[in-house]
Amino acid sequence: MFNLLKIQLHKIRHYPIFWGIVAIFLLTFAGGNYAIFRMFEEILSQPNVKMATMMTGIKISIFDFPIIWNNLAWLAGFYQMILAVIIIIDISNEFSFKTMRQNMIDGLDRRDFVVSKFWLIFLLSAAFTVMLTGYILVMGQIFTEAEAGVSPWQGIEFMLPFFIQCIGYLSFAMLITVLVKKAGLSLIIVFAYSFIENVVAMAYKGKHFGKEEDITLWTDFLPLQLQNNPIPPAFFRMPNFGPGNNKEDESISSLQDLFVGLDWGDLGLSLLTCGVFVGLAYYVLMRRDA
Amino acid sequence: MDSQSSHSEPNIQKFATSSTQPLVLKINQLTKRYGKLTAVNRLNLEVKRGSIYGILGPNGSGKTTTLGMLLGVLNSDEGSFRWFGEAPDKQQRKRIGAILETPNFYPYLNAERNLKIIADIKGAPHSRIDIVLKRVGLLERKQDRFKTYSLGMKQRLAIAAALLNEPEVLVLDEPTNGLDPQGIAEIRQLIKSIAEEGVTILLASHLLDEVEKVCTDVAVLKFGKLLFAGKVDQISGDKESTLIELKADDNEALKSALSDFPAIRGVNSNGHLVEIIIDGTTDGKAINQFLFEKGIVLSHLNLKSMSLEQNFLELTSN
Repeated sequence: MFNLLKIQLHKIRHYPIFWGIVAIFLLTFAGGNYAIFRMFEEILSQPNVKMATMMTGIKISIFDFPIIWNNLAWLAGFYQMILAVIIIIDISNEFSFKTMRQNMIDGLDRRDFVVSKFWLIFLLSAAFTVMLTGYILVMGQIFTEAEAGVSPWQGIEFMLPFFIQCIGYLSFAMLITVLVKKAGLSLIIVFAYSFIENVVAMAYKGKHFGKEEDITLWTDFLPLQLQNNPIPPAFFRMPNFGPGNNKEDESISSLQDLFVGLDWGDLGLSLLTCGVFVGLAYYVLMRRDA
Repeated sequence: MDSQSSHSEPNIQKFATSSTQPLVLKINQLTKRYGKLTAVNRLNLEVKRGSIYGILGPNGSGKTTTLGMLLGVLNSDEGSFRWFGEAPDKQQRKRIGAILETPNFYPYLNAERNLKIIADIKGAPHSRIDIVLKRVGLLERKQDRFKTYSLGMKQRLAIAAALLNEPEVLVLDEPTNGLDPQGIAEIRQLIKSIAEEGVTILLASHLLDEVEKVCTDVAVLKFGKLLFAGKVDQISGDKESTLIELKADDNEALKSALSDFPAIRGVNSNGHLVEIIIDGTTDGKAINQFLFEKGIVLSHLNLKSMSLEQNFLELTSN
């Protein structure tokens, strides 16, 4: 088990392209978040900004505890696409260098191969989750007003669906790469599919926005949405935000009212989706000649 | 063979245990189909411990496909095989060193790091890396990336990788393909020296010369079917058939007259000569007399023993 991790680490540790993508990922994450940070700083510095001001007079932003946890978990989901590039390149390399075949000749079986790739997925997801947790704790401290009296740890459980979503998305990238074998084509399919699925899902959600928010739509059962569902961004519920703006919701009078806890049923479905992606990748490899 | 765990074990021990299990590999009715094409067709083979077993056949005869199945890379459609008397699994592959088609390594890693990956897969200690690199003459280049290697060096690195776990069997697929004469000689010398240590070698090749020079046993494949299996000297000797060169004033008349000659297997024009193949051995007198009675006087008669190459072409032609 750990030997498979060791083998996988040997493969990427001295691979310049791996470190290149990691650098791009970190730069994009830092740059993207800085842009959002500046945007909200600007907004919050102006008095009586409708979008960020509660009716009660408390200014809130997407960076306030506890809603920062699911807000940023939702936003950070987009950066998973960069990590998917690592998975796609690493696995397609094994096909184009014929090294998966050689690994099997040398004594791995197809299950070992999938496990070693899952280790990489697990490590990248864990690293990203830890990084995001630290980032959220810092940002939350900066933005949340002390008098709000919210524990910074409330909502940290949203890191769990984020971690599972990351594993799921990278497993999806693994499945597509195992199916098509070529790096370029896998990249196009993974990105195009992610884009189309999210646009369709958002379009359907938008139609029902502000009316029947809790309705279950068929788009909720699309593979990537199943992993998105446990992380509903709280800013969609913020007054005067999103497509249903100018809605004056009397029931929301504090930060706590915006916060909705984790739906464990949704989390279970998300976990199941990961299992299906990994299982299918294994099934495809089993059936096929290496 | 159950004593493979010790890496410092002298090779003499491999001989000692070999008598208890003479068969390294047994293939039974192995079949692989690609759609309508049957790449390997009910193949049966037995490889004895300590032999250098050549699998000989023209391109597309099913050699690589057969090795692919034996190495767990390709799924077979029918039949079975047993390594060391056991049903195949990944543990046995760790006792085998194998190269299929081309040397496959991570091009961005140097030789040492590539071998670390393989050593970890096979469960071999990293201390073996320098030993095998030295053996194939690549120790000085171990810090260089694989992509900077020449084809001959890549091939030698592949052999080094195959030797990492002191394998009992070495499987080589066209190991001299694409190499220059010096590279070919080096690889052949390496194979022979490995075989002298008691390692069983399974060598696929389309080069008769290579099999004749290196191997003790040979199986000839064609269209995935086994045509012949036996000792190399059996196929290269002249016990089975004789090639005779003939010439007369009228070669066409000579050819038609020959069709009545008993035990004739084939008639072929080769320049100004007529070549015939006779089953069994014969002497020149019988054929000379036969033709003289048909009114043909020979100006040339030469009995040639059948070489492996001719036998090979004979076996594999339509």
